[in-house]
Amino acid sequence: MLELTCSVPSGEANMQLLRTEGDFIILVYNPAREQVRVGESIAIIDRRERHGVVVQVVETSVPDLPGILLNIIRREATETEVIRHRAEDMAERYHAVENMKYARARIMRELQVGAEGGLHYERWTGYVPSRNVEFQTISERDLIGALRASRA
Amino acid sequence: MAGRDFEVSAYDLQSLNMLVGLKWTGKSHLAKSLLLGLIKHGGGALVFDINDEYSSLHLGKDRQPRKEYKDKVQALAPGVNLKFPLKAMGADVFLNFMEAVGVSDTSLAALSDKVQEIGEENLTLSELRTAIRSVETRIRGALERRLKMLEDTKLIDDKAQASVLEDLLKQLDQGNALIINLKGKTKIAMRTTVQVVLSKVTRLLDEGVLAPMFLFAEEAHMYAERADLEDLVTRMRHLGAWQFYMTNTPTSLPELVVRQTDNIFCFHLSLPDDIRYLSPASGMDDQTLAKIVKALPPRQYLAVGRVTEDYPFILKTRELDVITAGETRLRFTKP
Repeated sequence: MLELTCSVPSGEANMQLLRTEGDFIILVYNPAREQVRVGESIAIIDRRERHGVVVQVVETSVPDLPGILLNIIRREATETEVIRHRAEDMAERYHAVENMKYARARIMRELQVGAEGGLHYERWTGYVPSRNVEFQTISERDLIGALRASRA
Repeated sequence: MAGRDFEVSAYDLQSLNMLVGLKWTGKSHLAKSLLLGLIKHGGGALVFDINDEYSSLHLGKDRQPRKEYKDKVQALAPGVNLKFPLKAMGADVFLNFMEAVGVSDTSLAALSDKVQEIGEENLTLSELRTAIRSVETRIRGALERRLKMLEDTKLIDDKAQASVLEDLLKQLDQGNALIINLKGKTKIAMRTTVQVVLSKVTRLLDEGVLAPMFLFAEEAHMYAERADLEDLVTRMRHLGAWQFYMTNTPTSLPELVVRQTDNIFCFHLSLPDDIRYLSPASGMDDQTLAKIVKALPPRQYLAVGRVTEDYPFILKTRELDVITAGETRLRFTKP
């Protein structure tokens, strides 16, 4: 075996499935809690269905919802500090929403959850998970190990 | 974050491999890393090195030979310690050379007759010069000028043993790396060297004299025609010459090479044409590939193919404890 170098660890991830577009899934996450990098692989698992997919992040971006965009434009257009007449926790929540991020991820493999909880990697058949899912980042070493095992 | 090892099997590198990316992104570094890994596992490799970057790979950073690579890397400089007799060049490669340097069809036909008269086994520069004295004056002048060009490459030494190339190439069976240092050579000298060496390698592989080996070609378009590369890819891989192409200009490689590629190691690229050209080898559409490779910082690359079970991984180059850079002569040594 020849050695190359990789860097992403495996672990739970905190995010939401926003929508699917063909073989792409749009994830939304809070960058204050999660770091998502282009190239990273994430398992999206529906425990109830014992089924899931592995996606690979190909792009990260910020949300462009009309309300957020309008607010940014208003803020820039206003010369003086905007006085917000909102409860403090509402203001924080609004700020958090504005700072959320999107990750556009391509579906790479399908997952079946075995009886002992093990994950079996298969070719994608077109399945997409529901929004009631768990997210797990997968390290390159774990992923290549699983892919090689599935070939064997 | 500290990197961790990601292992690939040398078995899966017995294929057509491509390393692409802009300058200074790390593709040559990765090529050296793969080459050293292959040497360590006993895989012989022939390297066409255009910038003299591989000759010192057996030396540690302290410039002392590393135990594991000692006597495993041999640098050959065409015209210096790589010379061969004209008969070792072979009639076909010799006539190819003459055609490449502009000999017309009529002159080439006359020359071909003379080569046949002399016989490949007796072919020397001096025999050829004597033989062409009998051709008409206009053709003779053109041929003499081209023979002088061949002589000027300093590649031909008719006193050398006919088996000199074979003896060198047999080192590949010991798992050694032969570095053909093409730095500073004229295009004619580069092209002739590569053609002669490859034609000899092909014959030895075909006859089963040489075990399957690896071939590393840096910027192959500088010393091989597109048709030669296509031939190399379609023919030599069946003979057991597993190839690595390293380039910062992917469009310089024939489309056939891209479509036949089994493993691609892609560093940062920014030009849409380059990315579009490479996308068939990556198994991704060009827009997805663009998003990934444009985001790659230096020393990180996308690896996809047999070595990764066709799953695209983003990996990092690893530090090597050997001399990996060629000597660059600078007029200004500080920014």
